[in-house]
Amino acid sequence: MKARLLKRRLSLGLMIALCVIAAPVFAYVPLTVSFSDGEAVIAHWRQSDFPVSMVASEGLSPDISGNADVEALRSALNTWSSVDGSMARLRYGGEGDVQAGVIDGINAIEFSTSPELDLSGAITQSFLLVDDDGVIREADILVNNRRYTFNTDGGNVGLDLETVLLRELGHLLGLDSSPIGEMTFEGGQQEVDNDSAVMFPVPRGPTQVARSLSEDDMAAVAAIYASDSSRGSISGRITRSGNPVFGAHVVVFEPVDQVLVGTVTMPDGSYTVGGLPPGRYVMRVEPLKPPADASSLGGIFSTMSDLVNSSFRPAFLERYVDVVAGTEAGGVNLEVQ
Amino acid sequence: MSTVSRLIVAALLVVGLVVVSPAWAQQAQEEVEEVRQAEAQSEAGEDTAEEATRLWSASFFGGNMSAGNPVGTVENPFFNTTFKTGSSSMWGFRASRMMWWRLGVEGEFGRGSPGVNAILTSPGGGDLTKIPYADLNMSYLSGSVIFEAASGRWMRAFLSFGLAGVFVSGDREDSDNTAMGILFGGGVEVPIIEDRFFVRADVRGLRADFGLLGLDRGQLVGLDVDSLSTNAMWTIAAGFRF
Repeated sequence: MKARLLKRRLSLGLMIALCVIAAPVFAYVPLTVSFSDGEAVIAHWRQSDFPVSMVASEGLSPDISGNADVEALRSALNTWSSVDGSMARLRYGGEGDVQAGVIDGINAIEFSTSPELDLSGAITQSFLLVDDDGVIREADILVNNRRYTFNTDGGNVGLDLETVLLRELGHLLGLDSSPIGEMTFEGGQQEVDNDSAVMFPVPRGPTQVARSLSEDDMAAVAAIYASDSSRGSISGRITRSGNPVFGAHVVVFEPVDQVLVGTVTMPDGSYTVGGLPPGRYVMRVEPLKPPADASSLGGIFSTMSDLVNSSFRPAFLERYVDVVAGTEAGGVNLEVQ
Repeated sequence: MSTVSRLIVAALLVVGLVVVSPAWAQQAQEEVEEVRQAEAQSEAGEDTAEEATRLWSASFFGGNMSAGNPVGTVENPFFNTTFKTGSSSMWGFRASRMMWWRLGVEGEFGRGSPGVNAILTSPGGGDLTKIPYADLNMSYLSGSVIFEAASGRWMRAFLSFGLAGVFVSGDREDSDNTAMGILFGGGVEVPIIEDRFFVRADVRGLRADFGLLGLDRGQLVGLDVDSLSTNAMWTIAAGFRF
């Protein structure tokens, strides 16, 4: 039975696996799954799919007594469903005998203690079944409860469950990792800065809690699943000596409300930073850098990583950009050195 | 009386006149001087009285205002963003009255449009870029004490210190703000045209805790930058006394 399940899991050639440890990448960059007719195909749910129902494996995490793990899951689902300007809706579908990585029409969250996971360093793993148009047909999350323990009270033992689930649900919605964040040294240890995006590629460690979304996370889901015209966008092209710069990290910042959002340029040097609250933004372009460098990119960035340009100098746009609700500030081009 | 006797009397009279004459002339001269002095004192008295009535002055000025320090900085892994008010021309007017000894009071209104600059640097400190970020108009209304530090026929120098209400407005939402501050500085006044008119040069510092762009009193999250804004100003004024 186990061998058959494993075979089924391995046979999911159409699925995209996203692991927290070997996380593929980007600034709130939508998860690109292929490149077709010069355009990146973005993984996404259809509007009619919402609310997406998530069914958890029975008992959820054995580390947590009572109903606290269910509440943590509900809270994470609700957080992604409460972004202004986004129609994305996730809901808790109860518990059931579900398995992640199996094409069964059920969007599953499986807490697994299987010995198979002994060799895996991943905390979680997402599986997305995506069709040629980028539409997500099914999504599962595997939680490695074999190597990792979880808590819901911010304790020192294990990882905060809601923090882990919140990040993985972002992948489930079609978000790749985001380089909006940084690593800091606390008590002699390196850890993720608290202000980093939930989708920052490095997972939060024990005692670290990130249960709310950053502006970068919210802009991402609002851009992919825009429900109204309350937000705007900035678009343009990054070039070097007139040639497009692929894989440049474009960061825009609205200082008054501290809105910090980024994206990465496409092979033709184009970019669009969507889902932005109205405001006056400044902009910077820089090469991707660890821990969100080209080697950890996913989607087309992974398959075309040798074309990613990381040798140019960071540059600021020497003007501000006004973002107006419901409109796109286009033609914001920058030539880098 | 013989002819000889008459000549002797006449000679004595001449000698007497010659001898007495300097004393008489000196007395007359002294009288003239006294009159002249009296007249001079009278004229001086009239001037003093006229000056004593010119306790008021009013002037209009133009000049420049510019920022002396940042009002806030926002830091994140990608931007160090520092905000400073910019530089612009300014205008205004003053009215003052000397009160007692060398002290007086002065009211002043000034207005300029320095705008706000965002100074962007990379977290490492490089890649400095300054961009005009927002329009900002700044007005102030102050009441100061002035001290006449030096006074001569051709120049007066004075110091001033007072309180100012500062009003800022801009093109950004929530950028209107009002705050109290201090206005300090000094200047030199040079009389022209019979001491009734003058030109005057001033330097001023206007230090106030006003917010920018809807920021909380200029203090941004995670900052240790002084939120007080000091604006330096220089002005040239033309005015009159009355």
